[in-house]
Amino acid sequence: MIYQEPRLPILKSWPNANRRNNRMTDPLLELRDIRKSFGGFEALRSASLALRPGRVTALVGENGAGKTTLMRIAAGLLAADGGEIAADKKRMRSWSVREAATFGVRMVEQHFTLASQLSLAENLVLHSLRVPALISKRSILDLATEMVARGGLPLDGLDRPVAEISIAEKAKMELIKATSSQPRVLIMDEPTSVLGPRELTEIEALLHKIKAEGRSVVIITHKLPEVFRLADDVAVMRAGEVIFQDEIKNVSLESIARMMSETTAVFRPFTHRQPEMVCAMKGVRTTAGVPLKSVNLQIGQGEIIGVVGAAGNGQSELAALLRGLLPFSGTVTLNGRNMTPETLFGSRRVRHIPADRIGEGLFGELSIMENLALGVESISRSSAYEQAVRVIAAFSIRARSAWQPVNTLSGGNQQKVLVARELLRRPELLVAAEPTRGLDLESASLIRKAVTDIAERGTGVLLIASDLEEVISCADRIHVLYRGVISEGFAPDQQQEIVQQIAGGR
Amino acid sequence: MNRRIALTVGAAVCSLLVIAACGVLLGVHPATMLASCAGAFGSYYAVGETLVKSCPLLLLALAVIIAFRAGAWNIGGEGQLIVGAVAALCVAQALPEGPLAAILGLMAGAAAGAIWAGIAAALRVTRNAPEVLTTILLNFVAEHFLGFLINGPLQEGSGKYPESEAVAPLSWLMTLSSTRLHVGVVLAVVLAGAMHYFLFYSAAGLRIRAVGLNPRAARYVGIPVDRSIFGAMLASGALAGLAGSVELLGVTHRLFERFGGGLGYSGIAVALLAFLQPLAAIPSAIFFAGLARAAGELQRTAGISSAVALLGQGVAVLVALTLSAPRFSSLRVAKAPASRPVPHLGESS
Repeated sequence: MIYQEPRLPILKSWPNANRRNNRMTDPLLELRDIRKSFGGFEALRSASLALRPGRVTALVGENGAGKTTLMRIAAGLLAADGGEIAADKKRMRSWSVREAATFGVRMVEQHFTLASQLSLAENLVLHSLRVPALISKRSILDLATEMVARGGLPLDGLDRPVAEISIAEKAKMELIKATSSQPRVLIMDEPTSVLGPRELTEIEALLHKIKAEGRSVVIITHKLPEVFRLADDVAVMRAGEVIFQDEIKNVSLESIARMMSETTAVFRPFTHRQPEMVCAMKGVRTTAGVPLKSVNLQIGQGEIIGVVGAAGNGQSELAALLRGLLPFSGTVTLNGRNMTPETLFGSRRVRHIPADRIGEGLFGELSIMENLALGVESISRSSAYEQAVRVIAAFSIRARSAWQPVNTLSGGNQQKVLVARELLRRPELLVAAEPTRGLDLESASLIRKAVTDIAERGTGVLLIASDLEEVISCADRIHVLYRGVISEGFAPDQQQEIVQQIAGGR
Repeated sequence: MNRRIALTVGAAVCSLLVIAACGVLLGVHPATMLASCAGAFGSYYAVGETLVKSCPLLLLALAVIIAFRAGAWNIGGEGQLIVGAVAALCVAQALPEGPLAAILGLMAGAAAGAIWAGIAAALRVTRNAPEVLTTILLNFVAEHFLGFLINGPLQEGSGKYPESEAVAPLSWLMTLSSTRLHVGVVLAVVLAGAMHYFLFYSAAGLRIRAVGLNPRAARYVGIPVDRSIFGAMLASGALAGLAGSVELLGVTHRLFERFGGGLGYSGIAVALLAFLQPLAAIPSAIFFAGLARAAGELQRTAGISSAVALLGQGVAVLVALTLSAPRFSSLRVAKAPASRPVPHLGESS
């Protein structure tokens, strides 16, 4: 049975009961003590999970807990650094995509892999293994219809091009691609994030069918109400470990929410002053990407305002908007002046730490010195060098010289360069997106300190992050972003309410 | 840096070896081929001629460098060179002959090249039309426009030849004593130095390079990406136009069919062999000019087509780019290459 270090009182009573109930069902697929690191970042410490036939397991946990990594390993898409995988109780020597597919593990990932120029039928047939050498429009359609029927999810209009269908239908397409081969273990990564109530019902029916056939399903999700609707078992992950696994009937929503976010966070001393307003957003809406629907936010001088929520709920749009890269309606004011995208873009007093360090933050081929020089209006080469030397010392960046290209630095040191660049001239507003994601503890705490220090000196900070613990430990007020809607502000100690909002409660 | 110099020299040597091998296969004695090199560097006059030939190549390479560095793929050097030459001719002929006509002619050439490149730049910035295509297509437009002019409004007085009237001698660029070496060569070298300083020692140049390397990140640091690309394209067109006017006022003195003669495309080769370094473009341009001169000599003495110069160009660029490319970069997902000597081609969004 799976479980380690019972840290939570609720664990103490369950293992025996569990063993009694499920003696006859040996696990179909078992992951034992799986470890995985990316660079210096330990994504999975020692994660164990057992998937039993005829059961739907919900895998829950906060962002970065390691859910997707663990499941990618289960599907053979990633190689584990250590641990064991047993399929049908046989310990597997190696576990590649091929072996996983032969055994019958299929994973539906969050991103779509559809060729938009082709029709739905053609996309499905691309994934079929039994395609005749000569094909016609007719035979493709027949094959695809057969696949849809096997898949167990209804879908019409297979001759439409993918470009014309809705996101929900695309998500269904991905599911059909995976289920049409009737896998013994079906893994779905956040399948319901783009599905409506009707599709949810269809999925429910599909799950019943799969369970009846003695196959097994894993659903990765953030949404706790769904867990109770769809799953038989629940496994909770935190910080790279599965800390809990049991039947759903033995737990309550509240206890799972508590397990997901158990924290040792120290709150930042809360100051009860009325700060000068730096930035205010009122009724702001956007249309591109994940549309933001009526964002109201106020950031005062020296305040750190946290925005939490699962990634892909409008975080990148919120950051892009404040950089002036997105058209919006509603009002955004900076120091009392009304701003447009153009004036926001031109403002040197708004600085950004983008979430995508290398894609949006740094210039990998340029040196540390040059990356830093881009943070100021104009600088001579010699003072740029001095500036770089100062920053390298102040942030204890491990580099051979100021001329070293940043893509040869480790992730933590890259992030230090990025953060340092944005703080060179004290900004009025700092938008920091995921400033410590994937970093080792030392770099993370150094960066956290730099951000809180700059707030202390009067900068208003908008901290957009998915790591709730981090936001709670340093923000003055916390909003939750869910599907483009921003919640009211919570105090850092209202953790229960925040977790419920993140999970889409209410 | 040293690695790059070694690569460049190695690539140049490779191209010479390939040409030599071709010569041997065709039955030319190696001594004859060595002698043909004298055609490029053998005498005071020959060196002068090679430098004259390298001048437009250097200016065109600088044009390519500034655009490529900003992430704009200006392949339209040929067309910009032609319109620059046309503008220079018109202005020089319209003004009373003298140094003023030459100076204004050069400026008009640069302006015309900038406008020509500006069309493509505007299409890229406003309509997102890929400048690789638009600049190439504008080359054809310029070539045929030139054909029309020299068979029509700008044709020489007698109406017999498809060429224009020559610019009055007093409006020609000043030359050095007995050679055709003109002041345009000095101008090109000065511009190479200036561009080196601009790109690597100024904040504006740093921003241009930043835009070329990562436009998304450039936006987040607050650099107006579209405006930077537009500016770089204008500068690029101006340099190519200047190359055309220098060639017209310094060497040919008149327009004729095939005035460009592929110089615009050779400029890209020069820039790539120099790894987009303005100062390295100087020896690179001289190498290619010498190659062309030697090939011409080879054609006269040994009857080998001067197209071997193009072969040499191709070999040099291919060798340099292949050896400098990060190996199997597409297969190595996790680790970023330690350094990328050639600013990456493609990937501009």
